[in-house]
Formats: sequence, C-alpha cells, structure tokens
Amino acid sequence: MPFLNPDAAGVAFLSRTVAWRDGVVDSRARMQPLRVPPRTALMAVVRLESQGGPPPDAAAVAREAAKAALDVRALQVDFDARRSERAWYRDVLERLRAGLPAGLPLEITALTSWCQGDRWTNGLPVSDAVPMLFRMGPGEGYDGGDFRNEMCRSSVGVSTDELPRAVPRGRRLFVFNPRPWTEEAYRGAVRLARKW
Amino acid sequence: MRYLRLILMAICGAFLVNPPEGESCGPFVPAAQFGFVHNPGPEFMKGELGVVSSNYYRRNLVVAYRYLSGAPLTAGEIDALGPKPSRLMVRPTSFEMFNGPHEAAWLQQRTAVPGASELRDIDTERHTLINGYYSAYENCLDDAFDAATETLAARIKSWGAGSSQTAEWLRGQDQVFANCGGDRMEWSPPPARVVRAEFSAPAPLPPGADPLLAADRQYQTAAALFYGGKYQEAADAFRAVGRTTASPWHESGRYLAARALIREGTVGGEKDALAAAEKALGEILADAAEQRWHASARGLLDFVRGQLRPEDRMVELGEALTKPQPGPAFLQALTDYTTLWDRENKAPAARSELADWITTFQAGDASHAIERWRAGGNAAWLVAALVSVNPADAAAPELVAAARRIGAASPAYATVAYHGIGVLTARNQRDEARKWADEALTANLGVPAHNDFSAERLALARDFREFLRYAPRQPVAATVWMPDEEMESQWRKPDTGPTFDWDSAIAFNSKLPLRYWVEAAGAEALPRRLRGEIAQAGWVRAALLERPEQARELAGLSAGFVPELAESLRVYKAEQAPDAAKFDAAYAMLRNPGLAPIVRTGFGRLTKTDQMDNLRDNWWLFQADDRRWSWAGIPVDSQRRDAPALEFLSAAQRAEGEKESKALETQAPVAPDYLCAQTLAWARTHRDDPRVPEALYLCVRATHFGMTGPATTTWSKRAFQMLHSGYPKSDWAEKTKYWY
Repeated sequence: MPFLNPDAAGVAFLSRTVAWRDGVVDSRARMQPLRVPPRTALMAVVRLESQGGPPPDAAAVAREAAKAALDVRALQVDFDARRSERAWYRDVLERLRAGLPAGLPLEITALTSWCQGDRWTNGLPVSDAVPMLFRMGPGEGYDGGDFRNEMCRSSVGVSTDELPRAVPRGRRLFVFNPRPWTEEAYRGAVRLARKW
Repeated sequence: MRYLRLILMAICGAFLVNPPEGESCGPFVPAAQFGFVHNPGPEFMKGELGVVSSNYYRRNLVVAYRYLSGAPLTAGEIDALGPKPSRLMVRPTSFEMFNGPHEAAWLQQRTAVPGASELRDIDTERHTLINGYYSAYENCLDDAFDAATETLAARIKSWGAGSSQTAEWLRGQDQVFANCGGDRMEWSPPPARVVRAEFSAPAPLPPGADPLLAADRQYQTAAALFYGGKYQEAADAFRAVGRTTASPWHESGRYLAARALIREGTVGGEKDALAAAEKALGEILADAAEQRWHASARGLLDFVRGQLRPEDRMVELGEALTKPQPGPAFLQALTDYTTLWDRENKAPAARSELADWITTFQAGDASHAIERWRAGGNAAWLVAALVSVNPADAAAPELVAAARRIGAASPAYATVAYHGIGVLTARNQRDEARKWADEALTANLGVPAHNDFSAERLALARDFREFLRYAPRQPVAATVWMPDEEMESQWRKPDTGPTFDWDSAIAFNSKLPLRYWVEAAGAEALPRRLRGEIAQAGWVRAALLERPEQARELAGLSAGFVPELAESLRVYKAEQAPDAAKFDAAYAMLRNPGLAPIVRTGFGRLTKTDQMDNLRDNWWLFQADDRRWSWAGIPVDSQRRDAPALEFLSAAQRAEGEKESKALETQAPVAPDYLCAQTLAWARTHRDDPRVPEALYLCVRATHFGMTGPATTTWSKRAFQMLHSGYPKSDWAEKTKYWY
C-alpha cells in the first residue's frame, strides 16, 4: 500500500491464525508480504477459528496470540465466540492482557449483538471492542444508532462492499476491503472517514 | 499511541491466497451456489468447462485455454490439479501443542541423550520489517528437523547416547535451531517483553576432537549462520564444507551455498545475491559430479530466474503451459506463472499467446479478441470475443454464426452458446435464442452449465409453465464465508435436491400475483419440496393480504406438504369470520417461526418450520429502507441483476403482482410487530379465548427471537403487560419473565 499516508491511516493486518478442530490445533503466521510506507501504524490481528470441537488450552492460545505483538502499535483478536466459548475466550483474553506489555493496547472485534445489550463482554480486559457492521448473520443487525455497550463506542468496522448508510460520528473507522487495496479504494476510505 | 481515525484492514488478502479449510469466523449459514464464481469444480479440470467466466482465477483460465485451444490436459496434469490433503493440522504431542510433527519428532529424539537440556518448543518463524515491507517466513523447514533427527540417531548408534561426543553434538545442534525464531515475546513470567533475536553460534571444538564431530560442527556452524540470517558467511561456510572431502556433508556444500544466496536475495532483498545464486546453480548443473542435486538445482534456478527476469520467465512458462507435460511439472509451472503474474501485476501479452488470451479475456477487450479470431485464432479467441462483444456491434452476428457451428462436444460449446444466446436475446431474436437454449439444455454439459442455460431459458419463458420448468436449479457448491469464494472442501454437492436461485425467487416475491402461487403450489412438474415452500409462503402471503379463498386453497396444499402445520391450518380453513381467521393465521404463524410470505433462495431456512432458528432466521423482515450501501454509494440491491422479464405476464397481472408485494411491505414489514398487533387486537375483544395467553407469550417470544424493527420493543412491552395484567396466574405469564 505505497499510496497510504501514514499520518492519516494505519493498517490492521492479519498476523496470525490459530485454528482448531476436535482438539487438533494449527497456528500459523501471515506469510504474505505487506507493503506499507515507513512509519505506518500497524495493528496485528490474530484470528481465532473454531472448526468444531472444544477449544484448546487457553494459556497456549494466549501465548500464540502474543507472538503477533511484535513491532506493532496494538493487538486485535478476532473471534466470534459462541455462547459455549465465551468463558474460554474471556480466559484467553485475560491471560493475554496479563502477559502483554502494559502499554500495548489489546482490542477485540465484536458482533453487533455484543454491543447492543449482550452483557457478556462486561469486564473483558480490552481497550476497545470494534463492532463489525458487515457480513452480519441472521439476528445480527445495525439500525444506525449508537451502541449500548460503552466498550463498543470507540470504533466501528465496515466493509467497502457493504457500507451502512451512516455510523456514529467521530469513531475510529476500520475499513475492510475484500479485494486488494488500491489507491482508488484508499481514497474512498479517506473520504468516508472525513464524512463520518 | 498516535490516534488514527482510519485503519485499513488487510486481512482478506491473506485468506484468498491461503484459504482456510473451514469457516473463518462463523457461525455462518451455508449459502448455495448454482455456478462457480472464481474456482470451478473438479469436472472443469477434466474438460467439462461449462460457461467459462472471466472472473475465474488465472490458474483456471490456463486450464480453460488448454481445452479451448485443442490441447486438453493429460491424466497426469488433471491428477496434479486435484484436491490436496487439507492443510496440516498438528496433533498435540507430549511437547507443546503448537509444534509441527517434524519439530516434535526432533524434540522427542533429543530426549534420548541423557542430560539434554529441557526444550519443549522451537519457534520456526521469523518476521522482517525492512523499509516498510512487512513479511514473515518459515525459517527452519521440516527437512532440517528430519535431518537432525536422523543424524542424532546415527550418532547415538556410533558414539552411544551417553557419550561426550553425542552431548557436544546435541549442544551444537540446539545452537543451530536456536536461530530459527526471530524476535520474540518472552512470555513467561509475565508481563511479556520483546526479546530481539541474537545470533547463536555453536562453540568451536578443541583441537584433537573426534573427526566426525568436527565435520558435523563445521556443518552445524554453516547451518547456524544460514538460519541466523548471515547469508554470505553461510555461503562461504557451506562452500568450505564442500571442499572438506572427508566430511560426510561435503556433497551438499555447493548446493547449500547456493540456497544461502537465494535466501539472501529473497529475505534480504539483495538482487546481486540472486545473480550469484544463478551462477552457482548453473555450475552445479554443469558438473556431472553434482548429479544428485541436479533436479533440485534446476527447480531453484527456475525460481531465481523468475525473481531476476520475471517477464522472460513468464514467456517461458506460458509456452510450457500450453503443451502437455508431466503432472508435477505442470503444477509447478502453473504455480510459478500465476505467482509471478500476481506479483508483477502484469503479463507479457505481446510476447505470449497465453498471456494475451488471459489478458484479453479478463479485460473484456472485444475488438482485440475479434481481431485475433479473424486472423485465424483458435476457439479460445471466439470465446473471448463472444463474451465481451456488444450485441449491437456489427461483428456480433458473425460471431454468433460461428458459435452456432460449434458442436456440443466442443469444450467451447457452453460458453459460446451461453453468450450467443445473450447476444440474440439482446438483439430481440428471442425465438432463435429460445431454440438454442433448448438445444443446450438437452446437451450433457454438467450441472453448472445446465443452471446457466436454465436461467437464460427462464428469462425467455413464454408462459408460466415454462417459467416453472426452468426455475428449479441444483446447487453445485456450498459456501460459508464469502458467497463467491468456493473452496475445494466445498465442491461437494449438497444433497438438497433442486431449489430456487435468485431469479425465480425474486419473480415470486416481487412480481408474480397470488394466483400464480396457487398454480405453482399445485404444479406436479415442480419438485415436492419447492411446492411445499411455495404453498406455505403463499398461504402466509394470502392471509396477510386477506384473500380468504386463495388462503384456504394454499392452506390445504401446505398441510399436505408440511405435516407440522396441518392442525393450525385446519383451524384456519374452518374459520369463516374474517377477524377470527386473521387471528387464527397470526396464531399459526406465531407457533411456526419458519413461516414467511416469501420463498427463499438456495438451501432456504435450515430449521424445521415449527422450530426456532438459532441464528434468528425466524418469520420475516421487509426493510423498506435499504440500509446496505455499496462503496460507490449505490444500494447493494440495485447492483444486483433485475428480475427476469416474465413476458408472459400482462400489464394488469404485472401491476397486480407488484401491488401485492408493496402491500405486504407496507402492512407487515416487521413480522413480530405485525403478529403482536393482530394478537393484541384479538385479545382486547376476546379475553376468554383460551389461546390468548399463549399467543401473548408467543408474541413476546417473537420479539426476542424474530428479526426486529424500531417499534418492536414497544410491541413486546404491550404484549408482556397484557399477559401479566390479564392472565397473571397462567403458566404463560409464569414463563414470560421479560419483554424485549
């Protein structure tokens, strides 16, 4: 992304994926190069993926997630935890927060339902929960208003191919592009950030 | 942290390159696909091309070109492109959960040495951040651990597990692998801190050491330099190993020196190192004594040339890919070709027929395609021309005539017929288009192509019977992540039987008047499951629109298809008073969350009609105000294709259908709101109806589990209050503890 202005935008990039199925775990780092201008603020995203079966040891997953925290400004964990996985997810986040350097922000992505009244996120040791207003499944929705959950009031995530008409103003804006970023798309994101 | 208001998410790119096997961040409802968007299924590789799309990934377009140009893939090439085993998943071992099997085997082997230091995990990845170029790479590969495991076993056999030589050998090897990981988070004890990687060198041996141990140490030192990122020194050290004829490793010295130079060129970005590697590999290939390394060196040389002169390499690969070759070589060439194209973001179209065709096909450059075809180009160029030609273009009839001469056995047939029919339709030659589509539908072209031609034929339907005949489609894939990203594991064909694609669903839901719903529900030609879907949705529709005759007829049909609805619908059918029937209908709907006045596309609702769907696919929601907007500010829905023409509808019928759809959206946009309103209205005047407390309970439940609107909470509260004030001692009140 040589077109990116590091004073205007940062990059949240998938840094590591930890997946599991029936007790079998796969953890791998991003192997695709990411070209960004010098001084670009980088946020590492760690994606947790349940492909079935019980989740693995929370301490080990937290340790794997922490590997992504090198040379970045913040760490974001992306996991749409089911009800049965929430206690485990909380455990992972608490271990991760306790282990990370104190000055490194830990954030999570959030389903809109988590932000609109589902209280399970209360007390999570994260500085921000980013409601992702795209690819929302049945029962997930966004009516254009603000979120009840205080934790969800700093940022919003949108996708270039599925924009809500409006989002709460003044928020940090995460723009997801399902296609490779181009200068044109970047300019669109900048315009959007100015508008919102 | 400096606060930035805009963060670009660069997540998806990684997934497109290396798609995970399962769902990424579910739960997602599986979506049916009736054709392939980017990745056609295995039949495509065998030559059943179907309608080739310019959206296919280039690797698939290479395959298409082979067939279209008359050079079909060989059995070996097809086999090489077949599904690969799912990506490596590592079983937990006695060592850390995240070690791969090769590292785990090495960690296990080293425990055979008494007094070996405890080591439970080896980090094999390094990341670099040079001039803003962020990358991670696997520094120590599986074969390194295999070689170490094998060598340690051999040394134990020679020296004994408890010998000083073995202990020293292990110390050296641990130093080698200590270089595998890069900067790391020191995790324990918390808090974590960043520890920068430092080079870890095996200690030199004292004079007079065991000669085998000394040779091993020379090799270990070179390997440590390699993994430690000191590539020039590693190359020198490996060359020295190569010169030490007494060393068991000397045969690999020159080859590994070349690999060190390649690593310097790729990880370090040193083009000069790549040039040096090219020279070194050339020398190995010219030396008969290095025969053992020739095959591997040839592969590395191809890689290096691709790095140094990508355009030249692409021309070579393009030439190779158009001719049959052994399967593994084909796969490698295909991988290299597409990787180089993606990386360079351009291809030598002027120097390569294959690159020219793919570029033209993807860009939709009709004039160039026509020019190439007229100049004697093969069928691939006719395909490229027809896919992109403007139907009004003077060349269009000529292309259609040429396409008409292509027989159904040709791999080009489906594509030229599909686009030829499109051209004829656009030129208003509908009878000819219909005839061609009918011919194509009788040819054995595979399920995706059959679906494509059915869609074309449906759009040309002359009457409702024809519409119904071409409406059912067989899904060819199920996707759970992005709807247009087929993955190998999802090529399996879901066993659902035929279902509706968007065209027939949108026709029913927004164009066809109720009388057609009744006819369709009774049409023997339609699969039973679809008739049931139409009957129950039609009944809801008729009930909401207050069309008692049609509603009763559809209720009777629904009861036959959906047994769990039978009792509720029997009551509804028997009721003659309009107000009572209205409540009967609302009550039946409240008890059956799967009821909605629309037919669904694809797999439909995945939960039984009388059961609550956990993902809130319950009842319905018409969003009068489409809140989803595309990047360009255009509503997503308006970017979709229009409803089929339905030329058999008269103007009056068309107006009737559209009026009914509008009425539904206006009268009952949010199901829980509508159902609560009907229930409350009935409850006010029929307090003694024993169904009322249950209906009020069901109302509140619907506001919880149904799709909601801005007024839903108000309705929920009203129903809750009426239930608790009017029937405080009922079981239903007891079960209703909250409103939503």
